Amino acid sequence: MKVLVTGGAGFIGSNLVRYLCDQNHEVSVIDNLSFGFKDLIDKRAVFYKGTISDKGLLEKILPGTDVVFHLASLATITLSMTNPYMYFDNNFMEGIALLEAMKKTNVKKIVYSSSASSYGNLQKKFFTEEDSPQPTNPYGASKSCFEPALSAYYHSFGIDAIALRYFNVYGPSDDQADTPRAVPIWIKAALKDEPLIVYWQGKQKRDYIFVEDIARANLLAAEKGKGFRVYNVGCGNGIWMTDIVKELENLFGKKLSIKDGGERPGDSPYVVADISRIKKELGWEPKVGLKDGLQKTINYYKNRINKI
Amino acid sequence: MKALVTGGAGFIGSNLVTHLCDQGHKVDVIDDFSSSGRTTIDKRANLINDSIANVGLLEELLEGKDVVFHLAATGIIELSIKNPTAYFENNLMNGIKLLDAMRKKGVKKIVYSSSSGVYGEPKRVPIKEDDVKEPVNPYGAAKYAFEHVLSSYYHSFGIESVSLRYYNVYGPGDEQNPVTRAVPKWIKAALKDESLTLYWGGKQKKDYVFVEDVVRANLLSAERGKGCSFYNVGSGLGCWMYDLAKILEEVFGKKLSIEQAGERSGDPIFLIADISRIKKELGWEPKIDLKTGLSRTIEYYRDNH
Repeated sequence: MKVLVTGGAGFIGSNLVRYLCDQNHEVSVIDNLSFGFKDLIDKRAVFYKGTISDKGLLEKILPGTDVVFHLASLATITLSMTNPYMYFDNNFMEGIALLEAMKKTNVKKIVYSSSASSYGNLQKKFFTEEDSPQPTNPYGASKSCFEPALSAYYHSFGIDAIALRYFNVYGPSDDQADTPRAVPIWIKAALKDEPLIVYWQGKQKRDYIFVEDIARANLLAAEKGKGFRVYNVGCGNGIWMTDIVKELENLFGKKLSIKDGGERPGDSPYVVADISRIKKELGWEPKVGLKDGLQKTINYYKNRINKI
Repeated sequence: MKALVTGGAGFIGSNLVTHLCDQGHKVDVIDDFSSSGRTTIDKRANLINDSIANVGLLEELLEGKDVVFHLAATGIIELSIKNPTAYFENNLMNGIKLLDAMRKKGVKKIVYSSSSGVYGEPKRVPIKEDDVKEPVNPYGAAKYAFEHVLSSYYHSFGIESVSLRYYNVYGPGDEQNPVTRAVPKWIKAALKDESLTLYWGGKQKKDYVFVEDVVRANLLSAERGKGCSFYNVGSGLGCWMYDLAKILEEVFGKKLSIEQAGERSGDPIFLIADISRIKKELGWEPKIDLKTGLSRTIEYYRDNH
């Protein structure tokens, strides 16, 4: 397949690009490097530095492309609350610019990286795709509100569109400097013998999914996805944040010091995926368990200890 | 109450403005007359001819307001398919500008005119608010996308919102140009002794709700709506399009000629609201039945055209 990955220099994007190259696909990457890193992009891919609102660039890259993996996005919740308009402009309107360029160049499929934050604080144990989105911050809304646009572009213009709602993704190459994600923050802290900041006494249940499993879900969505369809992508099991700390202690072989971060407003107690739809329709399931995934992630940061 | 009505010169907006003024509320209206088809509105309201994209002006108008009724939108499905970007700019991004201005001015409540178009081709009727929503055109997508935004502005910034998903609204004052809605089209045709265009052999079941009922739902939402909520606003009854034509014949007291126009894609066959949620939570229900509503609509077009 000939594919384009937007945001291919980011954490998930760079993992996806490598995976696609491994599977012998012809990969182009577009990324403005605002949060991504050129070094993370697999050398087998062709890299274009630019934004997806650059119509000329897109219309140059897109012809002949079979599928677009759309990962480019601003993704820091707190910043989305300071500047909501910018988040919608970036995550929504630039996505529309991409769809318009696809329409013009006759590219017929898009796999969109959506987010579990679409759901908001649902008062239930497992989130299913049919639950109505109730995002609680502009970032979540900017991700979820692009899904109806995809639905419209499928029905009105015949562009197949698969939206993957990621839960808590972790793994190597998460190099974002001010990452809001717990796993890389904790691993880096542990490697530097600093305390791990734990919110809500760790009594939050989350769904952690390894980045390689996410990359596989993307490719399967491109190969088997039809029409407009939304899928949860998580491991399908909740894990207490305290248990992640324990697993890290296990792997580090030492007691880690904890600092109580108190109660962080806006956090949900449970965010766990029901993954029966993607299992059934795309034949995907997670393969990497938490222990292996964390070990691989620790190894990655250990090898770059002087950079973290 | 002090209210700002965006799109207050449009079909539903102008009816809402009159109702609000009748109830003694103080009303400012902002409308750029880009798709209203009207030139005037209720004289008791303060009318500003401009777009809500004019943020400075918006902020001035929002000073001291209790509630915003947000109806401004470009509303023609075919045009949204021709120019999706313009529709998203207008119906989504300009709405976000409005919300940010509200945030800045401390205005804490918005009643948003959404659409049954958020559901796309429904999987079942009557449609409940939590049913799957897969809009089939950019117009419906923009309407639904803004509901997501409202959810986030409630949780992040405490702006309460009520989204009203209108079904087929009809009644006096519909001057939309070009006319896309069946009722005004048919009435105008009947008044000129022209034939009525019927799609799908009339075998579509739609939910017709009179504009005054819709207007009451808006005021009730402003008064009683809490948090972030979403309601269907329809009659709750399905009406076959050929029955609608029959009722018109009855009211006109003459046989009307019908022209079969075949199938029209992107137009749901069945679109009927389940209105139990708004009945229960806001105490709203439709009061004007189809026959009464249609005769009043006919009167309007007789007197004004």
